[in-house]
Amino acid sequence: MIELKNLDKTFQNVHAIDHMNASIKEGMIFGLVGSNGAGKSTLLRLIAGVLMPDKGQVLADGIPVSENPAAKEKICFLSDTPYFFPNASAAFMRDYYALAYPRFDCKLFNTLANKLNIDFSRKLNTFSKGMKKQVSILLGICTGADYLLCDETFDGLDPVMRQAVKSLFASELMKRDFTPVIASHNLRELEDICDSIGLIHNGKLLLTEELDHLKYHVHKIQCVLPNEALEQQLIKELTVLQYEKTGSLLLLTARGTKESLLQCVNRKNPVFAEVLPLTLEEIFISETEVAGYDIKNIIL
Amino acid sequence: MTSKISYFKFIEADIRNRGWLAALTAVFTFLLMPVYTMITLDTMKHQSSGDGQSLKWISELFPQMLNGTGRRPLSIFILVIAVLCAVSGFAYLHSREKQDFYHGMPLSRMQWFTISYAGGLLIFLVPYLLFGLCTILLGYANGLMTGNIPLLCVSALLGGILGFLICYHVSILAMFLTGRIVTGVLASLVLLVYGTVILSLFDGLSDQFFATWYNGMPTGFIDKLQSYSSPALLYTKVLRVSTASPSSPVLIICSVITAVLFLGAALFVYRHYPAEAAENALAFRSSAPVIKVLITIPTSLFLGMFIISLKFYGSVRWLIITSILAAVLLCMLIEFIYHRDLAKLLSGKASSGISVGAVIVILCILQFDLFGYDSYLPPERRLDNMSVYADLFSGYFTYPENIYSLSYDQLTAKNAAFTDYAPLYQLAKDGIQNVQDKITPKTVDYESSSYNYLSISVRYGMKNGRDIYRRYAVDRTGLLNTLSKLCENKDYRRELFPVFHLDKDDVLKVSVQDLYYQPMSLPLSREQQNELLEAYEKDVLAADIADLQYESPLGELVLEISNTYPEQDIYAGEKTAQLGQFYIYKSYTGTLKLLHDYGITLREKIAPEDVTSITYYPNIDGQDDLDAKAYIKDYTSGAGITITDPAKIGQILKKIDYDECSGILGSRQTAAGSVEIILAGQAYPNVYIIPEAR
Repeated sequence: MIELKNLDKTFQNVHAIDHMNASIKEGMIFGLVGSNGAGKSTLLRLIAGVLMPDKGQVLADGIPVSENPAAKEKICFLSDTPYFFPNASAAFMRDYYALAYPRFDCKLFNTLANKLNIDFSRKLNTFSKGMKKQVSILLGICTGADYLLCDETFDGLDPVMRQAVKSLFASELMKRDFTPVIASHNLRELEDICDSIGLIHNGKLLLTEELDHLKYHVHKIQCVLPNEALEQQLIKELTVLQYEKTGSLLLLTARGTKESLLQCVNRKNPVFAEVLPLTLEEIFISETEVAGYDIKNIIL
Repeated sequence: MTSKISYFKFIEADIRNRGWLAALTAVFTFLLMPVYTMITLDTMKHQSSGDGQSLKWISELFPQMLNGTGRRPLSIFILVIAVLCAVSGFAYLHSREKQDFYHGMPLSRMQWFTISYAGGLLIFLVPYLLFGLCTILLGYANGLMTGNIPLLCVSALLGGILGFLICYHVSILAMFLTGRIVTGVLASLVLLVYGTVILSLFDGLSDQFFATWYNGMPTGFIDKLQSYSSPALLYTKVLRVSTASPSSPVLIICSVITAVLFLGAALFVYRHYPAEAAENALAFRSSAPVIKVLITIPTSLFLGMFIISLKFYGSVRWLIITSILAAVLLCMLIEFIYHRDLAKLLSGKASSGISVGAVIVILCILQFDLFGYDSYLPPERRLDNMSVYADLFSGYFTYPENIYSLSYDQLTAKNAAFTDYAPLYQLAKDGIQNVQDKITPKTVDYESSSYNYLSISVRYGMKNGRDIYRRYAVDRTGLLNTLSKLCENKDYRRELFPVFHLDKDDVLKVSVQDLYYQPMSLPLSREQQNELLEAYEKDVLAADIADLQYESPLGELVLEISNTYPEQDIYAGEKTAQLGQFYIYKSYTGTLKLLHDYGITLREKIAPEDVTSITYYPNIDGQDDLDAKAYIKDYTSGAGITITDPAKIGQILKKIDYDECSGILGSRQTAAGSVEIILAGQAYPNVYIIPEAR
């Protein structure tokens, strides 16, 4: 588990990470979402030990990460712009990573690279941006690190390759203790891969929740009730995150399972009632509005 | 944890990634060590006489070929490679992507430092030692490895490595203090020379602004500090002392300490290097205004001095203007480097104000002499002794100590220090008064109002052991009177006259020259030679100082002495040196008698029958020359006048004297013109001045 304890980082006048406390459990895919400049990359760089926190600390399985190779062996950070040595080939980078990461799996790298048609002898600076990302991801997966920090990793990958990478993550999750942490500003991209989500804004982690839990406990209700008194009664009985009325149609976003919400609405003898699942984006809009944030400025 | 074996592989990979630098180092080291040495040895052998002595000189020089002492290309190359190794090794700190790559890996910063540091060191060390060894083998092949030369060669190689380490560590620190490669390189240069620039400013500005500033203080604190003032200077010194025997352990120890200190500072800064500093000008933003002030003040003053060194007349005024202007421009330039935004040229107003303000304050202090430097006269109660040296002594005396190394300083000589300093104190008072009357050492050569004044240097030996130096312009007659009083002291006279500085055993040959300017060799035995020199010493001790100023000598003794500094003349292979200016006056009866005994009589006039032709050149600037031109009717401007009339020849020959000496305090006579006289049997003319009628 990665633990963030009172983590704080300021760049000049920008409070990039604001006394953050959180934990990322192992064995699941963690999505870190937030708008541009929210602090996603900074958080990942702090977790990876690239940046030194002003205050607080990052623990990987209970060991402080900063300047600690033993802890950093558990973590591999794939930056949004992968760096390769000038004139280096995929084989050279593989060997270099193998020097740094004792658990690096060269065979796996060779196998996967062959599957992705990566030429070992070709210089990486002749590769396209997407292909460089592929090599970077393969290197990250093959390090054997428990935590793979991916900063905007899916940018530049074609849809087929995205699926391939998702499959690779899934495969690794099956085989070993593996926790990818994927930072993105695109909720839709993360929705179908992440098990758990953290929303970061202005250096603060607004929430961290398991995706299933979020989806299971928040729903959208559309209903038409016989009168306004019943409507008010229903709103009082439910934990409403959002409320909207269009003509006689009442639209509510409320906490609760589908069954419990439906039961509650049905008790009011609705003319029409329907409970619908929320998209991840809708859940975040609701949750963050409750937290007092203007959501339109937070996520895309 | 990363295993130890990985270090080797990481370093190997690091060198491989900097293959261009390794190749560059190897090629240039090869060219500048064995190849350049072969060429130099070949040239030296051709230019020297080829005997055993020449070979000894070449072998004594050989160690210098291993680290660039006296051979700038190699020493500059070592410095440049040190900077390049540091820049290429730690440039990853200046790129966010590279930092993510390096610092994201499971290695600590110290491990990365070790890898990059060792990589850079090996890139230099391997070719340097390899081609150094080749160069030593070349020395063996040429028979130069005699005596302690092999040891000196090893010492020279170690000196080169130590010099490299000083520059390498300085540049590494510079990389850690900055966030961009360009600023890293600039910071390297600044750190390498900053101390020396500050100290040279101290000297240079004082020289510009203070009329009484003496810039030859031999034992001054600033002078002592100069050697250790900057890594660049220490680098050049360490190269030199490592090839010298005996070496300078103090300097070597200081160099090692400097290298270690810079390495320690670099490690300390690296531990705290903020990764977010990448692509910013400076690593630590809070240091920006401080660095701006520290760079702007000395650099603007330095630029001001540089501008006036381009020979702008009215120099101090231009120094002030250009320094202030440079301070303003530098502030803007530094802000641009910080922000890379033209709109922010004027930001950092407080630091800009401090920088420009400090420059103005410094210039005001200097220009208006707010601390009274020029008018300072040490109180007598604190004064123990004084000594004086007139600039024009250097035209009258040649000291054997100064032939090669300018090592003689009369101001600090014990016998030149007067505890009964009343005449000198008065001379200094006159000098200070002259400064207030705008007659200064700087004006004596240029302004006609100061024509009868000459420059002197004065040392005040204080009771607390400190020496204070000043320069003054003083009246020639007054100085001559003072000098006459001082010369009543025989010890001082022995200090003043170079003949007493000679070791008579070093004198190989004596010749004499009179008005005919034809050196006459004296085939004397050692005893005769010593007898002559002793007679000359007696005459000097008895001489009236006024005669040395106003009287024309009859001729001079020219001594050939052993060259005790052969390394200064390696190409020519000279083993002896000529030392002249031992003037002989009419009053030097003892010397004249002995010369007469040895068959030499110094001629006071040129006999007309010895003259083949005379050409007269009037001094076209003087009023007297106008008279001369009027007198000689066929004169055409710029051309010489050939005189054939025996009567006129006789007239001219009566006027000329032995004029190789212009008097102990100069300006013995003023020239109305000059004559070229071709003596019988001579192909080239002698030139004599025609003095003004007194």
